[in-house]
Amino acid sequence: MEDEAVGVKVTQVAERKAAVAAWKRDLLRLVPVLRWLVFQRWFQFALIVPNLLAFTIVILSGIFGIPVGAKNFSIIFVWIVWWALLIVILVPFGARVWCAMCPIPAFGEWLQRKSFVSVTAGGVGLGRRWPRRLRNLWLANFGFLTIALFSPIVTTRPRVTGLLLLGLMAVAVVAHLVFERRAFCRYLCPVGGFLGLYSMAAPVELRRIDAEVCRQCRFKSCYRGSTQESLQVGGVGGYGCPNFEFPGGGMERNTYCLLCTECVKACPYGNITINVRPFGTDLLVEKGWKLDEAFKAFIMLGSAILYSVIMIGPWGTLKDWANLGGWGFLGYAAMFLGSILLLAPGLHLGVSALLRRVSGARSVPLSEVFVNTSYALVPVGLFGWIAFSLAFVLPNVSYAVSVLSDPFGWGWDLFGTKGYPWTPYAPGLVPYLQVPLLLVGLAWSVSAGSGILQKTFGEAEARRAALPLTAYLIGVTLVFLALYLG
Amino acid sequence: MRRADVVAAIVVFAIVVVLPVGIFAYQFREKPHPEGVREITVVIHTFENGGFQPSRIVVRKGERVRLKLLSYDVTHSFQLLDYDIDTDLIFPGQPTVVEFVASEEGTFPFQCNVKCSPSHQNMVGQLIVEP
Repeated sequence: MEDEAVGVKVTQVAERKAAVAAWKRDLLRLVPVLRWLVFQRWFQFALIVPNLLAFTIVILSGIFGIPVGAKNFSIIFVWIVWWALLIVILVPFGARVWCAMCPIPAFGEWLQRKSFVSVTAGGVGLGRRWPRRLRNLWLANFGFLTIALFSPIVTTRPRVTGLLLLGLMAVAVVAHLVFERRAFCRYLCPVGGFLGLYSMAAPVELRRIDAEVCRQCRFKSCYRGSTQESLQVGGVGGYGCPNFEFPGGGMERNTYCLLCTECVKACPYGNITINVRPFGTDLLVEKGWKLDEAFKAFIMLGSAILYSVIMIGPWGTLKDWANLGGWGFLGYAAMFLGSILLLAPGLHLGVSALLRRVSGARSVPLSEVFVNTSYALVPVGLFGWIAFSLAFVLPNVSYAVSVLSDPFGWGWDLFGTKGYPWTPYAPGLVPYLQVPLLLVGLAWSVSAGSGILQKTFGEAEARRAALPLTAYLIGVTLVFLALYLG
Repeated sequence: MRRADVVAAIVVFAIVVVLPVGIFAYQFREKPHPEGVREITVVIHTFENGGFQPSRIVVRKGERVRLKLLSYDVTHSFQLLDYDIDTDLIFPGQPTVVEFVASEEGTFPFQCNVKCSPSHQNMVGQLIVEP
């Protein structure tokens, strides 16, 4: 058995070369320092610590600090700084790398493992399996929608922000103590769902190097975790995938990979790595296309449009309603939920029926067209979010300099920057950034949509359906342009 | 427990226990008064959200008093006219400090002089100077 394993290990070198030869580049080989870091047990803990520090201050300042959003660390650092980093940099370029450093599930996971850093055999908790019927994104979608509905409150009231983060941490702890692995991150986290959706567009991926090595592997440590036996063959020791993925079994999308790198550490053959690759590779991976993810695409796209209307649009009454303005809130809630849960899917269903009809591929079920083509909305949605975020991040990020010195609004001046005035950065430049961003998103969506149509209908039929899909995507982009350019 | 876990546990303890305790201890500690100054922080909300906190300030006659006035919501001001104190606007997050010697015994009203909310007229408090 051990000879077999050694044989596999030897062939892996040649296979690795073949696998990365074409268009992927093995990042862990390109950057030796990153490789060294990834193989350290303390690596993820070191990523979490600065964020735990920041989130602790966010929770304390949110609950006990000044209730004025612009003067409170929690609002400025969560909804301006963290959000901008997440949507403009981390997700488009780093997939779900935020999940690797997120402090929200940290306490739950440390308790569950009874360890901060090292690999332990037993932990705390019931270790129950997550209910089969809930193994999807619907609960995360519901959570996101609930927060999104109240976002004008959540993003401006420090106490609500602080309590929300504390509440999420509490839910995560309970989930870790009742269920196995990071069930919270996979099925409950309201942020994780959209990170997964948009991380498909990112130019990095964690994948196995050689499928044959994994087929012959008898340990499956990337899923089960390291054992004494597997460690005798190789690896530095790691837990099985906390997010229920099986990298060695053919994980082909970033959607549920948290980039925690436990599988890289656990693999006895060094057969799992992190690659750089062309943007958007996963959008054309059919395996995993599902209705819950399709709805996540509608929710995200719809939210970006509606936020643009409510938060930066000229309709003050609507903004008042959204701020729990009496009975008007019910009208706002009906509009918000109706647009996202009925209008957007309804429109997409109509477009799907048209695509199916125009393509002539009547044998393809409408439901399949509906789900598959929803992934074409990912780039336009992502760039819509980036464009929307620029509209409030650039004018308001200067508050961060001031609240850094006085996070609680108590009159401190820790770094001498408390008096830094509110300075909107490049306000006149924002539309000139938004337009090209939206056009890039459109072009990318059209390109991805073309590939998706080919996979759904076949080449000739896809050509016929390309025009209406392109018109649909142009329509979506025009809505954003109309909102931003007036 | 391995050494790395012990170090990690210390780091986590420092962040979630020592840091918050340190923050609150620093903010709410008894301030030293090397110059014999009594410092009192007055947090100001709109009347609907609590008004002046504290709204009753008690000092001893002859004490040098330093009031740190901190608005927690909208723009306010602070008038203690019996002691010739009438601040400029007090913006949220920008504390204003006033200092005076409580030279006269008695009860003196103070108020906000900016229409800060519909119930602005109730934005009053008392300075009590005891013998």
